[in-house]
Amino acid sequence: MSTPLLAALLLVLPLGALAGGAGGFTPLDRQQAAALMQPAQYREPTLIALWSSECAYCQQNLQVLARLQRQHPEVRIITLAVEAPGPELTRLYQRSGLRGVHYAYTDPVPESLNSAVDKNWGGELPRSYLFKQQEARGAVSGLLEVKAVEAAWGR
Amino acid sequence: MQRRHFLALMGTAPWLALPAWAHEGHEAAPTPQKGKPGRPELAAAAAFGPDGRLHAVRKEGAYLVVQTSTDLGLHWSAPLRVNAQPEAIAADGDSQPKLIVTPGGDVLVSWTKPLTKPYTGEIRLARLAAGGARFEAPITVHQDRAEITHRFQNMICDAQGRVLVVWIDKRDLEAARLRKQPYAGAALYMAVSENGGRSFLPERKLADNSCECCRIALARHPDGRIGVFWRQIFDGERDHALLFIAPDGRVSPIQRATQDHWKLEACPHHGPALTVSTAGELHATWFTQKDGSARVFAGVLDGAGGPPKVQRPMGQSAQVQADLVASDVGVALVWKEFDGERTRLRAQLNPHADAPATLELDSTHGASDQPRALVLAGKPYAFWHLAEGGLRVYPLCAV
Repeated sequence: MSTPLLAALLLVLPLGALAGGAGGFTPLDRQQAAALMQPAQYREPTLIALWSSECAYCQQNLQVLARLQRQHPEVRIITLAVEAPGPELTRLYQRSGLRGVHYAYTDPVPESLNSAVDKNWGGELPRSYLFKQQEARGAVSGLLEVKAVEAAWGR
Repeated sequence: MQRRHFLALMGTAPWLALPAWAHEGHEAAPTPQKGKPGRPELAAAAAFGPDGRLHAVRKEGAYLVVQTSTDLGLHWSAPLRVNAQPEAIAADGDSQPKLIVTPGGDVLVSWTKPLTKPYTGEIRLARLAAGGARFEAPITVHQDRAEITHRFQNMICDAQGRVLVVWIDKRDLEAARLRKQPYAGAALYMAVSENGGRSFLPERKLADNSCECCRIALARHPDGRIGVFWRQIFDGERDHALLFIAPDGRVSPIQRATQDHWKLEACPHHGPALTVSTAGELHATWFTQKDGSARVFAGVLDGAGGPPKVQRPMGQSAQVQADLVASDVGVALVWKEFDGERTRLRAQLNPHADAPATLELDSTHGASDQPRALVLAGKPYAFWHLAEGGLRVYPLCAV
């Protein structure tokens, strides 16, 4: 290993460890966010929910998702906060009682998330994407209704 | 170590980079600072004064600062603090400080001061008298002091020199909650100053059931009226409404000005823009979802309650931020959009003419504010605040 590379790693390693522990949120950049949206990886019913700590409707939506999770434990719920990890994000997520993987979009250019995730999404929150059997099953802006989600999954 | 491991580690690093604002404002902020963590608070505003000088306001730590340029943004004066005492200031996305210059040359700056509870705030305003060395102490524009939403303010000076401040207000929602009655969204309130912004008359309600967190557009009509254009909830559909305030203070009935029927249980946090041409045409941009796809549209409003006379989607994707202004060379439309690598600033003159030329003004890899369209001596300009590049001005026709 070259000396400059080692020096770079020494700089990055402790910070990287801190990132992984940022309130339990895993940071995503724009390439990782694009990869998260690929349907081929979702055989089982999966819901990806975009949200923000500043969005009041998103907090209601987390409650809806927690209810959906209780009713359908087989559903995989992934949340993606459109902001860097912070105490408010952690507090709101923990309060919702949701379980699952939770990511935070950390690219400093907010509008880049649109091209990474969905060009037909204009940034409105909450925004949810449904997947099943390696296919996209729809996108919903606004507060989710459990029945509408069940219908999209053919239940 | 293998290269892919190194790259994976590097992938976790960008969010740890210090945001641009961490390098600004050398004093620690003593008041709570709202906004999204890790994001620079770039929301800025600018206006030309009657002498042709350009004044711009932006956030620096717990202060707003104004800088002035006499050469169309090539050089800027040293920052002048708007608020001598530090306070919480919203300056992100549609939560924007605003700046106007009165016909007499006074500079007025308004902003939202977030309070402790989530989504609450006060509308603040400070005045720099023409030729003055420092801003006067800020005032709170409204009389209601409840710790509730008073946010997303905008302001304008009418033909008589009165200053109108309009904002999103949740006092009616809070009252309905106490009565255990439903209330959709928030309300639009206005306060008027008849002494150049030194004090304001008691506020009045303009509309019930506005959307909760979208910026409000204000524009002067050549006939002396002030146009107000905002996102409104019509039976659960978040379309846009228009009303006019006459020079005598009378408020017109509310018109439904866009009819895209976006049924949405959420607030898009993306308000419209409005300008009125010398012929009285109502040019606007607005964000909505139509036929399942979200887009920003540019168009001409009917102004009499009908659907827009012209409506066309802008840009190549949904995340476009636009502004427009009427000028002697026609309506100037400016917008930014992300192309996958860079955020690009573009403009069109007379966007509804046949095949208008698109001007490529600038681009950045970094974060940027929404662009603004300005006019000086009948000529249009774009103004853009960049995390990497600061305050920039672009002439849109031959100077």
